[in-house]
Amino acid sequence: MDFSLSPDQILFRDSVDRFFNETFTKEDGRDKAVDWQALVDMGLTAAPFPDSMGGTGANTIDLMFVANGIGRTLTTAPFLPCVVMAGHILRDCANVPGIQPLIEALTNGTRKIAFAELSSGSITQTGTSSIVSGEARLVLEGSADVLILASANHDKLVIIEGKAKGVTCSPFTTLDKREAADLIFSNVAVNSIIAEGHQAQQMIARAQRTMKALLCAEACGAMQATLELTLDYVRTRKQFGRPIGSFQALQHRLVDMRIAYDLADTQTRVAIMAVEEADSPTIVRLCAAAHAQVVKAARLIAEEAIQMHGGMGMTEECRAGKFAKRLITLSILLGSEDSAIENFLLSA
Amino acid sequence: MRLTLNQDELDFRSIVDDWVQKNLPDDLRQMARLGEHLTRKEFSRWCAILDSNGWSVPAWPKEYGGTGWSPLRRHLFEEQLLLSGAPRNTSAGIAMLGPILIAFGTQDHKNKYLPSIRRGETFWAQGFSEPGSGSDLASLRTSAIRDGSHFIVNGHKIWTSYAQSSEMMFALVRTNPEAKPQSGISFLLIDMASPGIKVRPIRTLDGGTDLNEVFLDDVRVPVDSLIGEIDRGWDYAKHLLGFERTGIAGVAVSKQQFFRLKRLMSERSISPAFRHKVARTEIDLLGMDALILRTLTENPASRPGPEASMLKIQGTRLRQTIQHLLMELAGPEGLRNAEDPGDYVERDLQWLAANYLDSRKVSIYGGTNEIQANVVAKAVLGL
Repeated sequence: MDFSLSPDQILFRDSVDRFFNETFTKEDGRDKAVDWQALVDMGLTAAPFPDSMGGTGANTIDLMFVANGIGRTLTTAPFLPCVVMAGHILRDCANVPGIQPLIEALTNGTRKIAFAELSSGSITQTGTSSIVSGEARLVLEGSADVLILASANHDKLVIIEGKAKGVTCSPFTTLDKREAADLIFSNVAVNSIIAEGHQAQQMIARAQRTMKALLCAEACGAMQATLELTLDYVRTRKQFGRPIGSFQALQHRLVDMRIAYDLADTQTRVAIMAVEEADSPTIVRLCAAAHAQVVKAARLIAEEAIQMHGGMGMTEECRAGKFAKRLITLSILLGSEDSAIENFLLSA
Repeated sequence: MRLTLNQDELDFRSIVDDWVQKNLPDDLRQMARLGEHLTRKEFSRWCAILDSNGWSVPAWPKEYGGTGWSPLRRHLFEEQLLLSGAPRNTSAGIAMLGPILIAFGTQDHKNKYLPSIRRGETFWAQGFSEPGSGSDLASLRTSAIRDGSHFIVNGHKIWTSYAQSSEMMFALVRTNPEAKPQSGISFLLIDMASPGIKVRPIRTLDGGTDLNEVFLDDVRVPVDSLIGEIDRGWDYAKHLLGFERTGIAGVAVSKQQFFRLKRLMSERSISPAFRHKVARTEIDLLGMDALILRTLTENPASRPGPEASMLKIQGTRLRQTIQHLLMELAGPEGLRNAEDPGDYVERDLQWLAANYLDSRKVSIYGGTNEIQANVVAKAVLGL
């Protein structure tokens, strides 16, 4: 393994870091449309697409820097759901008629596109068109303009307009203030299936692996920031006439937080490298390893950050709590540590 | 960023493996496989065999018989030796005294001592700890008082590995009782055959007798055995901290022990709960391995720093977890006393308990994990 970055990667990372630090300076009262436009203007919505599709051809390592930045600044703009998850499926289906305009719309920010999968119901083919009935719950950015919808067993992928007849969208925000929605489909007619069978399953699995590795990277960015702000706090908060960071009981726990973060971040980088270059069994194994470490570290760091901020940590205005909510949300989206270990065992 | 090692490094590993398969004596291979105690005799023999190929002191500069390898390559080498079934080649002479002599010794010191360490002929004991000075090493009290062309040394050292079979000891002694604790200490080389030295072995939990107490009673040490300047020994000893930025984590031993665990698991029926625990540990092992490689490759030009203390904390926890899993796997069969195991002992299990007990030391020696955490809090976290 080689963790060194090329000069180009360093340049890209630094410009992404600068962009997030300068654009997303505070967490509250943000205008979501303005945030999304900022990602578009920075060219990040074009990131995963090759030149030939009007994109910038970023690889998974580049996307990791973006995900780090999102976590570090608690950005709510839907980069991962729209650009990573939906974007990767669009990229893999680029030859299907009607997809290229969607890639352009996503890239230039005119339309948001999200990915959803049916938790119940089905996509039924009837001649040249299909009928969708069923529901999809907790879809990130589920009120997007366009949905890429997968059947429950991932063997069919269709495109649905968010405003199509028969689509009922109930939006809500998640614990960490991101847009999501529950979707109900009643006899929604769709024109064409963009992928089916094994090919559709492969495509979804590939996009979900990338998504998972990048959710880990987002969590790593959030963990890094949480550690930093907690360290700042214990250095300045005084009790008994001295900074609480001078107490060994806290110091040793902060060291454990840092070790947990280092492991999570390092194994996330390994997973990212695997997504970029390895065969799928290796990707599954190394992503599961990263997932287990990230979920374990995220909970430790989130909970310790609240504890070390004391009563302040319980308040709405304290940044530690905002980061804790992001970390807990990401952990639950990724799935439990035990499920990661099971995936790790199955991939052997 | 790249997932796999480049072809050169992969080739290098197989060169090391081929060489070990051809040159490692069967009895040493067997002892390493079973986790048996190696004595000085076995260590010396293996060191001499490695030296015949120029590999006994890979971290030393080339002019002293080292290899000139990068830190990454040295790491791969140490790891491959163990994974190929060889015992470790580590001694206080190779790992600690050599680098100090090379950095601070006179040409005479180097000529006199380095070649015999390299060839495995001379064994050195490390005389640092004292009964009253463990983590707080700078409080040490063994005194050295100048008397003409000699120092007269009086005191009591403890936890001195292989003192009973070492020709020489390098020791920290107090030469200036007036100065602040760290600044009145000197670094002395002491002949273990000197009159006035008594060695008393200490039996450890695992039944081993590698550790000793060393009593020094008016021991006369020639002044040319002083390394560097008088009263500056603490600085020289500190030079070693972070000299090996990654070796201290012991990831090679952890890997070797984990493969031993997998081998034993393959011969038994295993509960899903145990398999789950082993998988959790394997994830941590992958993480430790990646952390080490990250340290070695991310910024190859950077100097080793206090981050090594984090590697030590995590690396030793991992090692101890693996040793405990091995004990758990063996069950009651692992409870036989290794030195009196009865006629029907499974040889593969004979030393497991001793290895488990022995592994408790790794979070204590070389700076306890609590001291390492203090170092990280101060130097890495800025607390």
